[in-house]
Amino acid sequence: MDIIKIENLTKDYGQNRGVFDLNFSVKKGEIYGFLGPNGAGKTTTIRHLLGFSRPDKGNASINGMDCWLKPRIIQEKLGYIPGEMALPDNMTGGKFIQMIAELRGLKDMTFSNELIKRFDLDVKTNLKRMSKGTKQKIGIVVAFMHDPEILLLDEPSSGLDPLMQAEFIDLVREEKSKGKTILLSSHMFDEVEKTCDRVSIIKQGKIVTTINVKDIEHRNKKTYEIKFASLEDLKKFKTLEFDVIEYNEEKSRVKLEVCDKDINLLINSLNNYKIDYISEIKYTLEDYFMNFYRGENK
Amino acid sequence: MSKTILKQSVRNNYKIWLVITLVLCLFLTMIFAAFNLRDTGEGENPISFTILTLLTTSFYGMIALIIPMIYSIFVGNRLIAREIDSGIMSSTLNTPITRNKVIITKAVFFISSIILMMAVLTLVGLLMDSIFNTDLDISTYLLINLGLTLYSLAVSGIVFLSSSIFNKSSNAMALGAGLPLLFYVLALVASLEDSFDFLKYFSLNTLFNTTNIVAGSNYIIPFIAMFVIAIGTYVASVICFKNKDLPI
Repeated sequence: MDIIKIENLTKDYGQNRGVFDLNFSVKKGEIYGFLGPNGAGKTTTIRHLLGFSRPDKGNASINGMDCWLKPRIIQEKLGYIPGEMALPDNMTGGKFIQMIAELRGLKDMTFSNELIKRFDLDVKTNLKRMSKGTKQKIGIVVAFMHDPEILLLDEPSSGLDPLMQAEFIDLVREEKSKGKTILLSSHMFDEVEKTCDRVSIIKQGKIVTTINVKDIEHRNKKTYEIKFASLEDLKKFKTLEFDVIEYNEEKSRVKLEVCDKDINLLINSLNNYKIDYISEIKYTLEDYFMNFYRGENK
Repeated sequence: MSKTILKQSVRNNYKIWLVITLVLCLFLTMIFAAFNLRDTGEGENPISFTILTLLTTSFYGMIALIIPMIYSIFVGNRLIAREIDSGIMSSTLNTPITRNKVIITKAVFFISSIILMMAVLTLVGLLMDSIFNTDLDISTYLLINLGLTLYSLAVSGIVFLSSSIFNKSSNAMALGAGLPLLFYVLALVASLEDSFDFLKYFSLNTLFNTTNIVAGSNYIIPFIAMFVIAIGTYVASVICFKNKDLPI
């Protein structure tokens, strides 16, 4: 069942900014990654889901309800971490969390306190004096504390130190195991790769490509870098038939793409040469998407 | 109405409210004191003006208009446009609290704070009258303060509407502060130079005419007009805020 649904969503801010005829949906219990350069339309999409923007065309819906028309009902089951935490400057973190809980009508603060402890958040500091990372932790607590069914996370781990980033990834995975539906917009491939089921890349307001993260993990083709002891060896080796993706005479090095079933063939053939090393180059989401970031694939 | 948002609005704005109210009451007190110390001109040329004349010419013509206007401009801007501009409205609206509830609560706070300010001012005046024995015409005095309240509410409505229309605090400020100040200047120019008399038709300030109130004529329709402007601008603010795109 589709929990989050974007249909033909168009919002034109002029100068190619906005989103154009966007379509995607997120199923129950799924984590959907949203990647793309700055200004690609990620936040615009999320704004529609929050009911902050009225679409020019098409619509955004959550649980089958139009986000523009039914924000109150939707917000009850929604948690959101904004791309930029903007907090009032005249209260402590604890007071702010308390205030949002009041606005939500949330009385049970058990999970909130757990999160505060888990992320080592000092709630006595005034919001004004908080670092970016600490503010981000406030955002995490506020977004998760009411145990929402749906989470919209806009670059949620920006500003967090590596330890806390890892903690956050754990949190997201736990929430997924509870059956939460999550839309995660991020620049961090690592984070997306570790959490998401499906990932779309968005550019200039359009989805360029969508991929199952599992397909990346379980590719049956791998890339190897082989460094030969001498250039002669490399030159002789060249005649064999593998997919060469990089050929460097200067460093007498070659990069090959080899299907798993052909790996013995490669090893056997390498027997005849003197090599310095062979190493697998892990193919990541980053490699896959970098092309789209740079704009080579249109 | 949301109690939490009301509390937050009070917390954010009570200091400026206190300062403005205090300054306003100080000015009023000074005028009563000055009247008390006046040279009564016994003998040949007795000066025969009342405290009400002094109040309408010195206090209600400028200070009583401008000082509450400053409060309205700052607070009206802070209540909405600044929260949108800085993005802090986002955390409020990312709860089951609707836009309607947010803006209505803020409007109620704004209106109440101005009415309370005017009530305090009126009471301080009555108190000063009994202290200094200035023989104030109380019913006219109350009527003038009612007029001032309506005028200040109309100004606050303009600021509030501007704050609801614009997402940038600076733009909201430009219209919200610019328009009331322009009204003030137009009324001033119209009163100073006969050939510019027509300008008074373009100013809100014309509706609050103390001379007419003292004379007891032609003040009811202007009062109603100010009331309508106040209600109209607040209603427009709610509609506008409810339907616009929020860049947060």
